[in-house]
Amino acid sequence: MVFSSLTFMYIYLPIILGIYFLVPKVLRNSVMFIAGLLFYAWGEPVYLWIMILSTIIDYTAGLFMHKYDDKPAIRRLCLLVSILMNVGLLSVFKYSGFFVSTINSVIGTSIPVPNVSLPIGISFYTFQSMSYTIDLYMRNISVQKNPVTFATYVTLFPQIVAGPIVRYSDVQNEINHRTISIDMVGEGVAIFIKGLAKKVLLANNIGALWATVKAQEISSLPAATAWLGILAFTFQIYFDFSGYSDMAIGLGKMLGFNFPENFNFPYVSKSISEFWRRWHMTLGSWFKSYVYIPLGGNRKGLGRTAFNLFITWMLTGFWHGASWNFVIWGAYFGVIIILERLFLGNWLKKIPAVLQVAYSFILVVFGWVLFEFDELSNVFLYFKAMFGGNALGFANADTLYYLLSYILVFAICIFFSSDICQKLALKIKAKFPKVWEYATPAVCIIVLLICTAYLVDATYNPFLYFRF
Amino acid sequence: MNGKKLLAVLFSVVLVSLAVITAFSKKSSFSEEENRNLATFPSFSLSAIGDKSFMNGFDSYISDHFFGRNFWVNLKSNLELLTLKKENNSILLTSRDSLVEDLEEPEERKIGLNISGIESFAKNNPDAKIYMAIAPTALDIYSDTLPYGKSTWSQKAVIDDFYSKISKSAYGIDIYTSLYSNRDQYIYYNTDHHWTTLGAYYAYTQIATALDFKPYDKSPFDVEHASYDFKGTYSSKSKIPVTADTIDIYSLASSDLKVTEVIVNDGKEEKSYDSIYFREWLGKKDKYSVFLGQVQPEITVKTNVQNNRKLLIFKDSYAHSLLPFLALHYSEIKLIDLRYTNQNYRDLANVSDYNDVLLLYNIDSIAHSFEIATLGD
Repeated sequence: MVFSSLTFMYIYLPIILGIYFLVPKVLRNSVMFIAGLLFYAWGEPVYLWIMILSTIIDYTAGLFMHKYDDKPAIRRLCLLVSILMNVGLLSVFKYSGFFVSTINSVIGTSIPVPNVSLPIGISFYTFQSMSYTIDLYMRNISVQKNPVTFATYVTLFPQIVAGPIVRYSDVQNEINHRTISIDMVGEGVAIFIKGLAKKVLLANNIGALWATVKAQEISSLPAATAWLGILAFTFQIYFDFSGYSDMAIGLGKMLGFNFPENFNFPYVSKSISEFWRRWHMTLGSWFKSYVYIPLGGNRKGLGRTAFNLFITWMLTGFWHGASWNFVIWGAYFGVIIILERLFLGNWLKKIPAVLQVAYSFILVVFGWVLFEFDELSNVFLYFKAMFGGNALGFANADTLYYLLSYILVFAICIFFSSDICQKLALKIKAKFPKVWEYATPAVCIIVLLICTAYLVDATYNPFLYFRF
Repeated sequence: MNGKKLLAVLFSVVLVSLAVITAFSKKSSFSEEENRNLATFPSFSLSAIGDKSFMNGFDSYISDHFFGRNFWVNLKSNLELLTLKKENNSILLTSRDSLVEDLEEPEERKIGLNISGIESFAKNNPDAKIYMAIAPTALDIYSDTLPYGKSTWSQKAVIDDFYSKISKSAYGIDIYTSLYSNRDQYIYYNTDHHWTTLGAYYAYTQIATALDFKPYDKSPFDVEHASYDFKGTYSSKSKIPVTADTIDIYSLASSDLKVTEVIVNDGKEEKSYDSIYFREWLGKKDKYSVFLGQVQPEITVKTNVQNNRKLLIFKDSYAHSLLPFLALHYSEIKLIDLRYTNQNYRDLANVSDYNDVLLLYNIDSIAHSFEIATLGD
């Protein structure tokens, strides 16, 4: 089920929220658990069992770790079982095709490439589930003995399909005792509608331009069109993904959960290091806590730090998709981050802020080319187009047409992706608090109705991060 | 009540009321606006859940029957205008506030097949007098009003080229020039892919001259405004709001000439009517079908014209609004639509019975399909 759909907003949500608020507190987790199963099964009826299996194994591993608290060997074994099982599930259901075809091309075998379909959200719930066993092993959290409570954590419908990656430690308290208030529901609604608008009004709109450009032969694109296309994608993926995260966070708030932020205006970053502290923040912090730090972080000298960074970033890229362009995408950022640590960062601090932002933004846009094309040959072809390699000149009549058709949408995207909009909002709120307080609900409801109109009309409503 | 509580309450009200009304409102089975059947509630079974057909069916059902569906769709298309986008689903909004379809470049292979078909047809019917009239669409006639930066290919060049290639087999009638020189008049619908009756009239004047009879002047015709709110295929496809079209019916005032019988063969049976106008369509969405009804494989029109001349037309739907004019000059006209029949034309008509054979198509049929090629069989 997709949040930005009529079924979710006008059938599932009112029913689930209604039941959730009416039942006694002690039943709330049970309601969430069943709601989560229903939500997941709606999109993935057959592979529901994988999620249930992962839940049972991690819950049991947690119990054993707690029972044999004084036996480090057994605790380590439980951790190993959990990690192997989760990574194993990912390997089979997400990466098996990739592994086999890579082996085939490297050593020349012809093993039949398995064609396993990717269960929705497997990259998210396996990572969330692993955070429980790893943090339990490291004694950062306490065990969850109630199976329903644990299962509720894994199947929490707001973030099971597309994040944010919520660690058990983030919701440890709230999963057991949470308060819900109408105020919090109101806050959650505002965030949810903000996310819905980002997805339905902005991402889908600018995404149509990318779809038009991508449909053409790359070799037929003049430079400016290629740039317009990838810039369109740059905004599409931001509003799509951050919009979905906002909807998840908003839903969480309605239910009494405070999920961590996932995006913080990443396109105003002044360096790539900063970019990854503002983009998909929960993923970056997951890899930092559970891969980079255990590998030694930056505590074992410069060479080892560079190595740790490189491995971590390759894996981060690899998490995004089972194909080499994602690994290279991750490594690309890894190398830049290493360079920024070594000397590039210091150089950057000496140039004007606007150039720092331009530097980061352009490198991120290049990154998206790597991200969007599975075939590396197409990556090269697209860069070639962007730098005028198609010998078609800078622009043609179509370029002008695209620019004029989308200039307003681009302007709106730039405004809402920079933190100017947030600063402006805070200024208005400070100066006219009462107006702000009562204008917000009115604007939100109007936006909700407009988004509903778009959903009813939907001819174009894909969600990008569903590959994961 | 503070702002947050207010928002929570409003949100609940919107969600619950739309959900409840949608659930309990009466469901129609057919959408006039979209000209299609609306989804029925999906069947519920284990296998329907397993292959997600239940879920997908449920989603379709909810969106098809969502309360106020047409209201929401119109709201969205009006809002879209604010974003200055002038295109949706290949339909462009011109500076004349009309809609045109952005046709793709012509497909050489299909044009070639059509030419071969016509050449074979001419060879197989050496005594037939074969004429061809290819109509441009509004996209070309008004190509100078397209959104800034948008350009299109020359339909005139394709038409002229086609005519020169079939010149040994058929006489190509230039209707482009007459249409273009009258482009300031209402000759194409703003919301549909057809020409208006007036546009068809101008084409008729050129066809008449080619077929060797004098076309009637415009003045003796009575113009009946049969409908003022026609929104055709371009509106449905793009949902860009523009003013509705008027459908006109031209009849020769004070004339004894009339259609005596219309025989429609829909491929299974023949039905007889007494008028070329099927007025029940004026009350539905597809108002252009007032002209000769929906497209059928074969229609025979008999008139009381006393010259015993017969015309055979191979056509697409552009011919429907032009027929009333040709019917003033022939005692019998047979229209065959090759797209809607599997039969060879010989099973439907004996070419030697007819004085003239006219191939009447719009540029889209020439450039993007090859049903005409079956004429060569």
